[in-house]
Amino acid sequence: MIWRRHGRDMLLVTPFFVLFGLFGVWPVLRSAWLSFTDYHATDEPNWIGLRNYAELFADERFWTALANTATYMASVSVIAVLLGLLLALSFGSNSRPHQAVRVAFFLPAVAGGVGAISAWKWLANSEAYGLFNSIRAAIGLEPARFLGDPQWTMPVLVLVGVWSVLGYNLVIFVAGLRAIPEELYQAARLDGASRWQQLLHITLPNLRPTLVYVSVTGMIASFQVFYEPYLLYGAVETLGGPLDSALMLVTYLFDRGFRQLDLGLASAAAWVLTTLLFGLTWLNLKLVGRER
Amino acid sequence: MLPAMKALLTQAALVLGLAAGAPLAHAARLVIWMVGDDKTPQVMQPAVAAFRVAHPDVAVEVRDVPWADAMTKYSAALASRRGPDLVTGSTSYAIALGAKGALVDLNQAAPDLARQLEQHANPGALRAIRRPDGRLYGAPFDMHVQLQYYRSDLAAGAPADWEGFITAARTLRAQGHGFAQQWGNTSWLGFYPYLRQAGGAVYDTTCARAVIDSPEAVRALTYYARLYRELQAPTDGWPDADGGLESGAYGLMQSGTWLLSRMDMVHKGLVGRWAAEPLPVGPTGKRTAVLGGTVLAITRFSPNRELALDFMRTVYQPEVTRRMAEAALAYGGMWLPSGRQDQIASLSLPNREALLTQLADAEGPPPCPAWMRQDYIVTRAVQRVVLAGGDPQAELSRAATVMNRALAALGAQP
Repeated sequence: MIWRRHGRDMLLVTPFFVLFGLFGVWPVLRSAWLSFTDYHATDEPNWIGLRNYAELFADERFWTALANTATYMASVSVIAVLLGLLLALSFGSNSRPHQAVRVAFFLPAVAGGVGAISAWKWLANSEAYGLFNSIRAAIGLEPARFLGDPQWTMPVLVLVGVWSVLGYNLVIFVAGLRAIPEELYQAARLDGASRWQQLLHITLPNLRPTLVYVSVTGMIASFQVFYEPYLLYGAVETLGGPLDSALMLVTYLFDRGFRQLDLGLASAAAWVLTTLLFGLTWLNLKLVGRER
Repeated sequence: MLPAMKALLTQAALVLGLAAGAPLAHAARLVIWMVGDDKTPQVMQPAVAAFRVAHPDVAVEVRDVPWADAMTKYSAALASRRGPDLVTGSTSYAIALGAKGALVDLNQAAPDLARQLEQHANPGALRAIRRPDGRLYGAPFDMHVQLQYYRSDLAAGAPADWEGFITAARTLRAQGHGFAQQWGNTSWLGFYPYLRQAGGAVYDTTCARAVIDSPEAVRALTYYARLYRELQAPTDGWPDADGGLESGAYGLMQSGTWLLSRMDMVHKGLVGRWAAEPLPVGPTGKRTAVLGGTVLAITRFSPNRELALDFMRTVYQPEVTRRMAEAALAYGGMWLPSGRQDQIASLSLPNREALLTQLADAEGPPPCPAWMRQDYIVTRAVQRVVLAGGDPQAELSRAATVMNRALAALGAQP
């Protein structure tokens, strides 16, 4: 009966489910299994129980990578959300200048990638022609080693990270702001509410779903950061930058999995990363849900 | 329902047809992956042409694999057991792959080739790839070493020894021209030449114990730190040292031999205003440089092992090797055959004397399986001294302790 009524529909969606299962579900399950094995790509995986996880948690570099990633994620998420919201409130109208500002901020989302990071590398160069150092020289400051001093690593990475997601956040917030009924503001104004009160009691509560979406997706993306630190600080012989200050979880995973061929341990690192992301997302949703 | 079924069946038939037809394309096919850029396969073309004279029925496919993707692509190919027949890769990576059983031991599979390499390969390149137990998971393919480059219009000559180097660099710095190390800056690779010049090593000869805390190593790191403390060398991972040489920001720099053929092409303003010399000698009288480059190896899963071995024998024929080097020079590259170093002298290379002198005293990374897992420990010790003002003795002792603890846990596998 079901087949007769929905047979054609089921047949049409079958290719999707086959491909999803093959390239989505199967690799994830396989990676979970590999995380309990000693696997180097050359021989069959060998079951070793929790030894990969034990080795991972005993590795000082893993904790460095985790701390760097958490700092990066917290900084980029908070700054990009606050700035994005501020920009959306300031440049959210349909006027030409506001549209131009939104386009300017959204450009990095379109032009991002390896080319953009190469441009950042040039800007932050320690040589005299690096833009940042040119600015410092113009105001009488000594040149700084933005790409060669561990103290500068996180500020540079956060700056690049915020720059790359700010435009996206801005556009999503503008869409969220426009979905708030204008009548609410009119009623508030009639009641004598100030702009600050309108923001606190109308805009932010109504924008909460958008805030949650932007925060959660931003956190996930920040936690998976790879090519920015890899391109800015990685070299053939080292991946973590000065004193591992640019070592992120995914960089660590890449190093252990593909450079050292410890694919079992890299799978364990991937599952720790996934678990952390699940936990953070759950916490975020829980906090917002409780407030509701 | 019928049109949808038809479309699905047509697609399925097409996929099956393509899959079934693929193996019929060639009777025998040799696939070679080379790390590098899109011009790199041109180097291999003379070898392919010579090989096909003897094997006209064998198709040879040479593909370039960018350095950044090499490790992921090789790992994926190994996992699928359907990878290329031959690969080129960095020396350290080849040792790591060999240790995992991914590569063919040439000593066992082709003793004639191993003997030939023994006679003609660069000794440092061969030492770097040969394991302490004698196994040889690849053949030295090409090499680069560090050289010192300087502005010949600003300095009369290159410094000859460690102290002379500091003095010359200080003089240039007082005139507004600094010093920069490019290849390996503030990492184990930048420190390694000084370690070897001082008579130190990372591991003992059996690879069972780290000896990075020796007095020689401490002396080397103390000196290396002076390059940054006294000469204020940049600490970026890869400073634009050749650009700085052109602008005058640097009067003296250290980088790889690939710049010899590129310098005039990329930096027009430097034409006739630069020179290259071997590294200054250290306290033991050695001027050892790091020997980088690639290794040519056969994958364990290759179904064409004998053909692949024949191809390797072709590559290391003197005439073929020379044509390969000339092919690289033709496109502005530099391919220095580490497996047939005897052919380098006959090539028309810029700064040949300096190059030959340095090649005679060059060492690859430690040929120990644990090295790929432990190189960061040495880099961290170097950076703690250079970037954070740490004490060389304390940092190297700490590094040796961590390395030896890990070696003990690994069972000190040779």
